[in-house]
Amino acid sequence: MGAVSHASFTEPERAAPADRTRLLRILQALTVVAVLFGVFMALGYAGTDSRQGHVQRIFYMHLASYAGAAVAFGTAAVAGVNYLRARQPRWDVLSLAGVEVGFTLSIITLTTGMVWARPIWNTWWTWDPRLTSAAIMVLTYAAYLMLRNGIHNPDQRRRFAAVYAILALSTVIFTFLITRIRPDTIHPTVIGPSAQNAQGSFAMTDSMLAAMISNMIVWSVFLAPTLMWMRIRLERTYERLERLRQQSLS
Amino acid sequence: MPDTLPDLMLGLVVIFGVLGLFLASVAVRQYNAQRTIRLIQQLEDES
Repeated sequence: MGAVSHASFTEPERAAPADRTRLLRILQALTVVAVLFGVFMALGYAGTDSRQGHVQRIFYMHLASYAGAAVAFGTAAVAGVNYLRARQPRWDVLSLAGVEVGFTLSIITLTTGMVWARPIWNTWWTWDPRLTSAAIMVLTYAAYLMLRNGIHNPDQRRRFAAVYAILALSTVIFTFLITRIRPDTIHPTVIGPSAQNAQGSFAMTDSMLAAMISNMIVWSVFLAPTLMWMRIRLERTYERLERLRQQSLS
Repeated sequence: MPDTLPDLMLGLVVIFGVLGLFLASVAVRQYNAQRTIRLIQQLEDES
C-alpha cells in the first residue's frame, strides 16, 4: 500500500465543517427542549380522559410520531425525485436519512398503538384495516433498507432507492386515508369524524387539542429533521472515510 | 376511571427506548467511523 503525504488531504477532509456542527448542536438542544415540552403537554397539561384513563395520553405521541414519520418519508420521496432529476449523491443521502428516521418513528407509532390497544380494545393487535396498512407501511420501508444494502453498484443502488422511496410514499398516504375509505375500521379518526364502528374515540377538549398540536409540531418540525440531519452527518463521515481509504490505497 | 397508568408508563418506555436505540446506533457508528479516520490520518502522519 502506497503511503500518501499529509498534504494530499484537502482541508474539508481533515475536519468536519465547524459551522454546521455548531448549528446541529443548537438544533439538537432545541429539539430536546421541544420534546420535553411535548411530554409536559401530554402528561401535565392535557386533561385526563374519564373513560380511558391515563393511557389515552399515549395518543399525543402516537399521532405525533406518525406525523414525524410522514415528514421523513415525504422528504425521502422528494429527495428521490431530485436525485432522478439531478443525479447528485447528496439527494440519495437525504433520501436514505428520511427512510431510516421515518422507519424508526413509524415503529414508535405501531408499538404505542399496540400499548394503547391492550387496555382499550382488550388485545395487542387485530387485523383492522388501519393497523394492517400501517404494518404494510413499516414492512415496505424495512424492505427498502434490506434491498438497498443488497445492491453493490452505487449508481444502480441510488437509482433503485430513489424510485422505491417515491413509490413507497403511497403506503404512507394509504395509511392516512384508510379510515376514511373503509367504514368497517375500529380505529378512531382524530382529524375528521370517526367510523361508525370506531372503538376508543374520545371528545377532544381545548387542552387535549393543544397537547396534540404541540406534539405534532415538535415531532414533525424538530425531532424528525434533527434525526435526519444526524443521519446525514453520519453518511458524510462515511464518505470522508471512504475517500481517505481510496487515497491511501492509490 | 380505569387505572391505565402502567400502560402509559409502558408506552413512554417504548417511545424513549426506540428513540434511544436510534440515537445510540447513530452515535456508535459515528464514533467508529471517526476513530477509523483518525487512525488512517495518524498512520499517514507517521509514514
